[in-house]
Amino acid sequence: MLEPAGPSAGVVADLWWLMLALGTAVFVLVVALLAVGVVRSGRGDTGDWRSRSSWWLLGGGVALPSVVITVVLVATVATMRALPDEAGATPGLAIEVTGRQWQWDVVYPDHGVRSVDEVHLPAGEPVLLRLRSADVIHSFWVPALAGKMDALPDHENTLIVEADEPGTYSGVCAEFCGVGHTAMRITVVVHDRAGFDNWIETGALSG
Amino acid sequence: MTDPHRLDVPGPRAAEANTASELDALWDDPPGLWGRLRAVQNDKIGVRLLLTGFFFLLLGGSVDSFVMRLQLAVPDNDVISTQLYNELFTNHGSVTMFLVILPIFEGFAILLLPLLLGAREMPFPRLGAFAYWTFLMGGLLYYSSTLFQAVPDAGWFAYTPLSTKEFSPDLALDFWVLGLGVAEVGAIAAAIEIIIGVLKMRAPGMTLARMPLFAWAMLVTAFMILFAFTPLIVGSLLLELERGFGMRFFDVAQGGSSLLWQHLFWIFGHPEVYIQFLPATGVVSMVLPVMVRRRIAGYVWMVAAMVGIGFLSFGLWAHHMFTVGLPTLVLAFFAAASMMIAIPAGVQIFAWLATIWEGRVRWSPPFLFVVGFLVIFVLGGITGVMTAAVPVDQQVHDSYFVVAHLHYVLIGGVAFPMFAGVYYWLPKYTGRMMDERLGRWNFWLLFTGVNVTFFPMHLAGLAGMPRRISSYTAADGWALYNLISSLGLLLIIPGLGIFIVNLVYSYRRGRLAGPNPWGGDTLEWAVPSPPLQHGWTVPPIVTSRHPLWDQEELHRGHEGDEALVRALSQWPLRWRAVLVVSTATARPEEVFRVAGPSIWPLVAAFGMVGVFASELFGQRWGIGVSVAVIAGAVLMWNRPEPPLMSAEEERSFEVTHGVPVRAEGSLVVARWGMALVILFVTIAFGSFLLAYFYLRLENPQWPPAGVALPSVATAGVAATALVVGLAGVLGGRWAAGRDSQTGLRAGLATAAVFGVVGAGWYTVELARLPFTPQDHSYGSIMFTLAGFALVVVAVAVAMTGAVGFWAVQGRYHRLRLSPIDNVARFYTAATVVWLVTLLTLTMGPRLT
Repeated sequence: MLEPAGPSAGVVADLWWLMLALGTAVFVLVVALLAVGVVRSGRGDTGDWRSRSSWWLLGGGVALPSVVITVVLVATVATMRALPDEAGATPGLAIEVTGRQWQWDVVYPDHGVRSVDEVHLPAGEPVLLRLRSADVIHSFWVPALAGKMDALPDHENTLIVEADEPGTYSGVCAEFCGVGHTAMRITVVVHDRAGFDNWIETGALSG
Repeated sequence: MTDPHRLDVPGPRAAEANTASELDALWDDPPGLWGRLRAVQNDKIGVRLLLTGFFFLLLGGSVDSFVMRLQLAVPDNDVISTQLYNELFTNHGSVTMFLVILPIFEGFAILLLPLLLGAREMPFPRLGAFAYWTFLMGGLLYYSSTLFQAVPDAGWFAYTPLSTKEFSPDLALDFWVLGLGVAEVGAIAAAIEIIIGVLKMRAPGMTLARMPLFAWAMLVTAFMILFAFTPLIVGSLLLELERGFGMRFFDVAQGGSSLLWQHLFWIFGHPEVYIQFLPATGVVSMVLPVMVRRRIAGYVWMVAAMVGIGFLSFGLWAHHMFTVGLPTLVLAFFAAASMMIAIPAGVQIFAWLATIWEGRVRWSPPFLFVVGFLVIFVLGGITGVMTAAVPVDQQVHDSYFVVAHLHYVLIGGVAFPMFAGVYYWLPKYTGRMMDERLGRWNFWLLFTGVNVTFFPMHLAGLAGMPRRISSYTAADGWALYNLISSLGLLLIIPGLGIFIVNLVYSYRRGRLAGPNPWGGDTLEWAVPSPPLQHGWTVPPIVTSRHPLWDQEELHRGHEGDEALVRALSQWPLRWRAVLVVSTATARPEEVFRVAGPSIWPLVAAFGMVGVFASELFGQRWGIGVSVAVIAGAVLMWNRPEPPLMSAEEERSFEVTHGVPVRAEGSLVVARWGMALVILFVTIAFGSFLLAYFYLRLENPQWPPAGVALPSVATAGVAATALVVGLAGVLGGRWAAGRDSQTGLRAGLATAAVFGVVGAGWYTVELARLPFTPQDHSYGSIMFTLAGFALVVVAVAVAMTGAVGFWAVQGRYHRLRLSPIDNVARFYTAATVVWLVTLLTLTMGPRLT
């Protein structure tokens, strides 16, 4: 997920780096306060202890986390809005991906072809994946392209993926689904437009 | 302001009296094997829980993880099969979540609370024994799956449909549901014990605002156990009804839902994390101030933070479900709610930091573990906020990033405080200190080992490594992280080994501790180490939040209290007397006789495990036998015992001290017990309703095509019968208050008869329905919800019958109506459950 190859994974990676920076700052602050605290140890015996402790609690305990989580929450919601959804983007291509114990069946209804354990995409176009399961719950995860989405037996979930460049991206089933879970991998093969059309004609299994 | 340098002096000792050895003998459990099986003393039960939890930690926490890390150390490894790997991670998660952390903290609580609160015992010693036995037997039943070669392998979360009969056909998942189910019953029993112990059994003067923070932590935790484990038990029941009886809650082909289980599971599962974490913060809040010789900063803030975490933790469960396809608005809500927890957690962390700043540090092992806790837990908390951010979670969910996060929280946040607590309190119970040098090695090996093992997992997760895979290839690029993780165990294992060596060493030849080796501020340090069986010969009087730092003597205070605690050291010496105080203000309310040794808790636990084992092995006749065993055992353990003293003696004590004496058993504690039982029933009922409405909303066609709407008239008759019955109970109670024995008997008879009529009528109507619980999810949930209400009504009727029997014998008079009151309360609750059930079943299908 730290080497995004598409816009969805890209915005998520940006959010991650922001939170990593904030998180590191908070961690360093707390550890520094702890270190100074154990070293100076007891030199604050004089003065108004009660009001000092109120400052600690209000400043460190309430204000600091409030500020941090407000920033994180705003960034989170902004990222969620930046992720493509069905209402916003209008993908030209829709692909049906069905998980089963233990393989992925991939159908391209517009073209009447299918593939197994591989999803083929054209580069630079948003593509709608319709996820379902034929048995237990699976989860479709190709970290370089997008977050994961579960494949359920009783609901269809959708995921919009887009890859910037042609290439091969590996992914896994991320929800434990039985003894074949370890081996349940998925590969996304991204072609340029001509290569994709060519694959539809000659490379795919017939529908 | 007290001079802080005064705070590490030993402080006052508990007052002594010439009756100490006599009371010690009275409170000791009988010797020999038979005696051990009947033991109920809180020290014994607490230690048993601790040791058994630690045993399961070594078995399921350590051995499993060692084998798993061996398998994952290098790519393409095949030391063990994928099937065995799946069994190991299922076992590792299940055991640590159900059989390790919770029992260890319940053990801490049952062992410590009476001393800490200045009481002689927990309120229901036999319930405590029952909680231990059920926990032990549940654990053994669960582990016996190995003998039958049907080891659970669907993860500690057992998601449906994978865990249903179709995809897990052998007995493995039944061992998981039923074995752990027994242990969950034990957890709830202990929670009831802890709630009443903290609220009612404290030293005179220990108001809620003077209560040690560990007691606050356990109070909040115990309520959370009640609210979280009950939905889990309901969920487990639904899963077993589906697996064993062919019902259809989770069968998507028949109107079931694949996600209902996840909701029920995580409504338990997320609070469970805080159920484990809050006691740990309680331990830190006790240990840290003493180790830096400073009062905790912001006591009231700490209490508010714990209560706040308790409430918030029930609003977060869906953050475990960010990838199941929930609507965006729901996702945003749960993200915000999840992040909110950073505020109470932040308050706690900064209160500890402030206390350290103001104090003078003593670098003993308990403090080392507290510092280790702060560092590791803060890191785990930060990754927790990261995983609450929905888009990032959709990447890292079910990846090794989450494995790293949860181990930072559970090892740093929970295990380290446990070690701190053992180093801190063990001397109280063995009379000997643990070795400081071994303690340092113990700490540094674990601290380094935990970071070496779990930090790289963050990176593996970010690099795309999913959880619960038994191998990977070199091309995946996760090899280095995994190798480092596995090597980290080479530090953790000797760390744990040194801890065990230190335990044995200190037990045998540790330096003598004396009553107060750390200069602690709370009551447990005022008694000898190890304490006498009854803890307090003269119960203490508390006038401060830090009695050993602020009070000159522990038996001075309110004049009446002084006389009372002195009197309790001299009388009664023939039965185990404990003091009940008012909840908020800790004024003495009652002296009562706490139950002594008994074999019946063990028998009841056998009955409990019998219910589950009969279902497990398909011998359903055994369920009926086991229920009869439980009912018989519970009756026997509550059977009235001879009072061992005359009513005049009781009265003269009451006249002198103004506190009633009840050698036949407490009224106050019984009332609280009934209130908590009703709360338990209400939560269970709420969980069933949630399941009903979830399925209702998932199915536009409700009831399914071809099934008629339920009859309003049937429900009306059934409802009316119970309302008449309730009027009978309340009328009988009213008459008894006016000394009318006839009125009491007539009222109880009405209640029993109309209860039977209402329940019987509805049972017959259910049996005449043209569909079965196995046909579709509508039938399954209808019969199950109705079945639950019928069981509750049956219990109410049985209780009415029992007090009716005693009423005919003339055992009640105007001043002794507490059993009738309790039955009236339960009957009222049962009627409400009954009416809401009928309303739901009748009107639910009519909602459009």
